[in-house]
Amino acid sequence: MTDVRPAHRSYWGLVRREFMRRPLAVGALGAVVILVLVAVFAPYLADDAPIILRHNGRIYFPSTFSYREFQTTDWAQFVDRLQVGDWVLMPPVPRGPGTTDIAGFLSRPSREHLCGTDDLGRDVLARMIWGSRISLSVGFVAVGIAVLIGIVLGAVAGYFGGAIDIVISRIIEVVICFPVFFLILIIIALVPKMSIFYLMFAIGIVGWTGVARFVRAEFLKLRGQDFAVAATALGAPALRIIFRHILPNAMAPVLVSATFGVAGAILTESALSFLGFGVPPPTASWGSILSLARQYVYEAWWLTAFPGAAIFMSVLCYNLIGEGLRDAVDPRLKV
Amino acid sequence: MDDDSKVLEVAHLSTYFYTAEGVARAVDDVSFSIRRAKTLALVGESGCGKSVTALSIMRLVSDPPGRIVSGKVLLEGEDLMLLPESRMQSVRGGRIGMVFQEPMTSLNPVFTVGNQIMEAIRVHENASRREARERAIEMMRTVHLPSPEERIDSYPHELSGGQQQRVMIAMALACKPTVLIADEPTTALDVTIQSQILALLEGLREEFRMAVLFITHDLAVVAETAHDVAVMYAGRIAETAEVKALFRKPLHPYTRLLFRSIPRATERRKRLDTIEGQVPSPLHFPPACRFHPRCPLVTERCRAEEPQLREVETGHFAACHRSEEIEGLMK
Amino acid sequence: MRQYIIRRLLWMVPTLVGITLVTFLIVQLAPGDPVKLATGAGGEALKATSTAKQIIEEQRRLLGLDRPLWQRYPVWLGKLCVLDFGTSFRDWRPVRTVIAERLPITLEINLLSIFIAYVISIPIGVFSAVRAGTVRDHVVTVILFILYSLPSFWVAYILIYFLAGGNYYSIFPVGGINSAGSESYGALHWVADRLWHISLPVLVLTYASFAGLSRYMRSGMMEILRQDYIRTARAKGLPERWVIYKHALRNSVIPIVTILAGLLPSLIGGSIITETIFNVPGLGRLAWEAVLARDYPVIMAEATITAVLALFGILLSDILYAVVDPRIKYD
Repeated sequence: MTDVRPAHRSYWGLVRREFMRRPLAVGALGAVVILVLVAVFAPYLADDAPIILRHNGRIYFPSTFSYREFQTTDWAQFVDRLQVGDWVLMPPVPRGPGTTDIAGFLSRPSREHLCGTDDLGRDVLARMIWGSRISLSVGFVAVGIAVLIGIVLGAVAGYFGGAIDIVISRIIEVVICFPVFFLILIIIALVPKMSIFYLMFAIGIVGWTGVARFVRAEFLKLRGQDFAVAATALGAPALRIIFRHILPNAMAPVLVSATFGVAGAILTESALSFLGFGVPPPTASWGSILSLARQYVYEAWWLTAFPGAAIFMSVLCYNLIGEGLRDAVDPRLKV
Repeated sequence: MDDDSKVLEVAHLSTYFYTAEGVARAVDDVSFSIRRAKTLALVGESGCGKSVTALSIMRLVSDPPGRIVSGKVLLEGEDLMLLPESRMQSVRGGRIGMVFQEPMTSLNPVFTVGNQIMEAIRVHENASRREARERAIEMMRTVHLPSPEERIDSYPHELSGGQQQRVMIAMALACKPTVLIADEPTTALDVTIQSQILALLEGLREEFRMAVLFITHDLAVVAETAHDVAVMYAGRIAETAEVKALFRKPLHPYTRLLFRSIPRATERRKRLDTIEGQVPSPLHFPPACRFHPRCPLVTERCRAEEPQLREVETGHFAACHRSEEIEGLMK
Repeated sequence: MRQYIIRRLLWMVPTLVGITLVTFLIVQLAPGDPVKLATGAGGEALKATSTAKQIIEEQRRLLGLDRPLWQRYPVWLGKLCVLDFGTSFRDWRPVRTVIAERLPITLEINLLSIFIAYVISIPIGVFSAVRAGTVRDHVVTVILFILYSLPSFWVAYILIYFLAGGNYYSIFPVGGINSAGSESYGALHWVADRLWHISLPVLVLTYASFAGLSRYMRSGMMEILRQDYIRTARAKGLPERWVIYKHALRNSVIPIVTILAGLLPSLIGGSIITETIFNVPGLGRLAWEAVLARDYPVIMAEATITAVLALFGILLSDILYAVVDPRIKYD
């Protein structure tokens, strides 16, 4: 009987298998999935509008659709005064991020407000649930922008070399010299009216340098390698060489970088909101709740504890996933 | 081999590696001995366990994942496996010197070669800096390094491969050890340098009366330098004998195939001989005789019963069921 | 080496041009007439006074608003070279003065923080690497990982809540860098008072960089412990202490030292959040105030200084690399 060797696996299959071997990373991935679900289904988790409403014999879905007859309804009062034959299915947190309860401002966590309320009486838990939308969308979009720019510039620089490479490398150097946070602040200072898109844009446009360097290095390395030369010899056009042959090899470290990038973007967005430069009120963001905490640090500990914990947990999970991925794609760790 | 001249005796040494994929029996019940002022060549293909054997003798195997599970290593009668670590440290470098395969990476790049040689001297003997420096220069001269008084303050990367290896040898022999272990010392060097280094080692062996364990995969080197040979395959010793006896009449099919696969300039052949199959992974050794899947003389017995290393002719040991008949069956 | 530095400096010129161009364009692109923006609401009344008129004219001239765009850049560049960054929109003082006022305290806390981070992280990195895989290493790694993921502004508030003036301990002051009336303190008292005030900000600044540095040190050290020359050192019989603190450590500080130079820009821009939270009147807080007030001259001045420092930091890094690693030679 000859010796048995494991069947040949594709690269990504191997990566996936290695990743699965790390329970922490897999757990973190699960947590992130849950977070994404929370963000996507926020209206069904925390809103003062019911998910399903049976009223006067008809069925409505106020969370999902906007009905003309309910446009000016104060849902809190409506729900209180339901008539016979009516029936509601409320979201688990029956308050929206904007639902104010002036009388109950800055109240401690209780059964009614699991995470307390802020200075306008808004439920902190509801705001956190909706805040996850901001954090995640800013995280993903900003990193998406950064990765896109990075891949394009890095590939062009690495593939074509020469003068193009020199110019792009100088550009990379210039951008790297500015401290990231500073650069974002500058961009924000220039913006006439802050919105979430500027935020995503600002974070994305300063974060592409790492990816660009990676990709450029890969292209420089692989350009001279045999399979690329062979492809050229066979007459394959430049673009095809780029996409089908070189790029897949460079993807692994880019993916790792992107994961850490999301963690960083979430932190940056929170920090910016905290400093007052993030999404404008009344939109809820974890960082903006924390900035409230500045004034009420001693009186309202829940304003510090919960959103901070949320930011921390998200960043932790993304870092764990990034570490898991990095170990999984590390060629040296394979037997 | 008479008893009183056995300087280093390895008896039933086994070193296993415990990995996530299973247990790798890199060295499995290995026994051999080295005579004073003689060279024992440990031969085998890559992956057969030769280097691990050498590291095991020095107790340099990383634990985890590796572990010396059993066996004795007698250095002039004293079992090294029983020594506390502090005493083993004085054995390393002091009584057994070791030279490795890649001199460039085996020398610390941030210290001068002089520093590294002197270090070897000062850790084993109570020499002052000046004495150590003088001895280092002398050692460098002994290994034929040109202008040692200047070279001593060079950094490793400033020397050529051959020179670096000489430095390694100087370091290993600085304290005049009883045994020298050379793990493929010339494999990474140019062919022309190889013969110089081999000659150097030969001369030093004579001069210092050292027992040498020479690990290699190159049979030509074995023929030139060895007095005794041990052939290793898949973690076990396949055959061991004095060099002339081994070359004249190999008693193990593996050894015969090894000889056969060396191309000879005088022969006119269309194809090179190879050994069928592949070296097995230490995680999945074949049962019974480990060589049986590739052996041209395989029988049912080979598949069922593991052959023990036995004395087939005087002083000539082989681990094969068919050693007695092999002369008639294989060329 | 000198030639190398000169060459690098020449290569830096286009990047420097790029940096100044970027900052120049941003100022020009700033929405609205910067001068009008600054004079803003109280502007009309203010404009009437002759001092204000003078300042506005000064500003116009400084920004070269009286000349076409392409002519403004060299003027700007010229002003930069003499460190004339213009006048702050908020209090009409020269930016240079404002920055000079705030510089010392920022340097103080950042330098202190970097120093502490290095001093702690090197031993921790070594400790962890040497015991890689053991329970203690795992615990350390987990703690470092958690520290590394904690948002600094959250940590700051937790610390304030528990340690500074809340319902728990009131060990540290909530903000500022000296107590009121501290001008009349004796020297020692003043220093102690200052230290007392900056403890929390420095703590917040340090924990994250120390966590990152320790992890970096650990992985670097682990990489080195895998190297061949470590094996050689052990084979020479060196005690483990020597192997780690002489051979391994010397190699592992190479990357660490080069990072040090890269920390140059963060000396100025790395503490924005911390200074803002703890009310430390430094450059970080200045940046925040400037962005809030759209005080472009200050913003751009800080940005330019930081960027230029970063560029020189890179050069310094490479030079340090050559100093510390004998293998590197630039010619």
